[in-house]
Amino acid sequence: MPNKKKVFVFGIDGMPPEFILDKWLDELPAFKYLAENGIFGRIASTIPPTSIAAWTSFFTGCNPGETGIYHYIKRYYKNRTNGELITADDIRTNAVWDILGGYGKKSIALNILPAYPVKPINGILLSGALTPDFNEKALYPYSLKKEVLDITGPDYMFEVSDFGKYRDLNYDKMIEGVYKMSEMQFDLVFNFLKNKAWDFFAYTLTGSDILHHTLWRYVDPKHINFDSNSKYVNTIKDFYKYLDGRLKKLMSFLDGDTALLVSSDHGMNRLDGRINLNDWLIKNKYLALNEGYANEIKNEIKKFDPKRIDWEKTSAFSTGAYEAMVFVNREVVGSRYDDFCKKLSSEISAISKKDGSKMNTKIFHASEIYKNSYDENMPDMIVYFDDLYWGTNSDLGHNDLYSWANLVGADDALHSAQGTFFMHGKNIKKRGAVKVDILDIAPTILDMYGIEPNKKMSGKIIDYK
Amino acid sequence: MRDKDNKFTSVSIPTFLFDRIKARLPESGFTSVGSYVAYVLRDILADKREGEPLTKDDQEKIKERLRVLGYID
Repeated sequence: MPNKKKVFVFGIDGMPPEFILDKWLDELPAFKYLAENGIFGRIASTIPPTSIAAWTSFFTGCNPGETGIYHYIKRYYKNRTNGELITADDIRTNAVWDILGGYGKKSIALNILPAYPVKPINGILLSGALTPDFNEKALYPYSLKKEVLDITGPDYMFEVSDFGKYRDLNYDKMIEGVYKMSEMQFDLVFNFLKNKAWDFFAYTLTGSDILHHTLWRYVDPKHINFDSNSKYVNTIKDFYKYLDGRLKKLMSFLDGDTALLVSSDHGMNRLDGRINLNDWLIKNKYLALNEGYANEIKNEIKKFDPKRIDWEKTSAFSTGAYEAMVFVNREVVGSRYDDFCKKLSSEISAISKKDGSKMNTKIFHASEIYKNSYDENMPDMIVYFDDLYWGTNSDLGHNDLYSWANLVGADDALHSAQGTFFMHGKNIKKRGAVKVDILDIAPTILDMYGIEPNKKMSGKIIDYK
Repeated sequence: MRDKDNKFTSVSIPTFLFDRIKARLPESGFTSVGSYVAYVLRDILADKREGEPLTKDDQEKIKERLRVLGYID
């Protein structure tokens, strides 16, 4: 029977447990208080640990095979090479706020990825990263827009931008933007928290992600470009100190009956390098290009363009900047699919580092990790080179298998498979350190309201009572 | 008929269905036929989305953002 409990979820994109729980906890008193007075630990992300997939699974309790959200772009096919976006329209499962709405419970969900275009909920839904415009597809109900802007100021920020592309970043401008965006979002959160009726509240802060990706070389001594003399050495830690202060303020607004979850969707790892996987696939005769394209890449590095591959002669290609998504062309491979995948994954696993040393590469086959049967956007394999210390590079035309940067994109860090998680409240016992799965969150939230999780949710209820 | 806040509206269903749902309420965890039906319908409707699709301009802005972040090619 649904009860009168309240739950607040504070999501922090990419919060890394090695720093928050291990290295910095004594300098983060509010986070430390949660750890000492509730449940905390590592949270296993989705496969792949990319934010659009992970946050969707976080709030729906279903893995990417069920939600339909694997990555940012729909899978390429011979007759679909334009790179269509995966958006909130493609989510096939209900989020916690949809389910709670069915019980007449009100939810406020702010800065959610992916939520654009928004759909009606019982409450308020504001989309987050990858919102192109503050229009009626960004906020439900749209009639609240003026109220939102009265609180945050007229230039509401869904993301930090205008700091240059990754080859010529203006770090100071970027950092200033992250704080400005976070502050205006906190203003909105605190205002709605105090002034609006709600049973469930979720806010996911994403400014952290861009700091991690761009400034990791200054925090991780094992980073190949580690620089301990830079003025940015404490930038990420200082940001978490800022978040610690905001967390303390948030906790002061919550009453004793509200359970608080603070969690990330994944963690972060230093980037040791990238494997030029499409070049490797060409060399090993899996990927074939049209003649002009093949000639061009002899002289310069080019972006992967699915319009210019020879689909009839291609059995596999890859995409991705961090974890690699490998797609098998079933039209060419046909009934040989299982043996083909076994052979290909064994060869990819054998790719070693530049000095010949072994990589601890993990490869996940869709048929094994996703409960759903084949769907058109599903990758066939997901590759974690050296267990996500190496990324992938889908650009073509390198001289060898190894690169540091791709033609665009952050170089310092990629997502790791484990994020950070805290749970605290009057009715949550002090259990200390645990390991949870991202799929456990939604069923646990529903359980707090006395609602039985639906059968599509494959996670378990965390032992919090 | 929609209520004055336009948040809820009436739908007619056969009486026998109403009675069957009402009989299930104690074990279901729902306190009203309305909330039970709304839950079931939300689940079914999750497979199909209403609302406006993304414009070409939307798509390009988001893709450019993803390219800058290095998430896509």
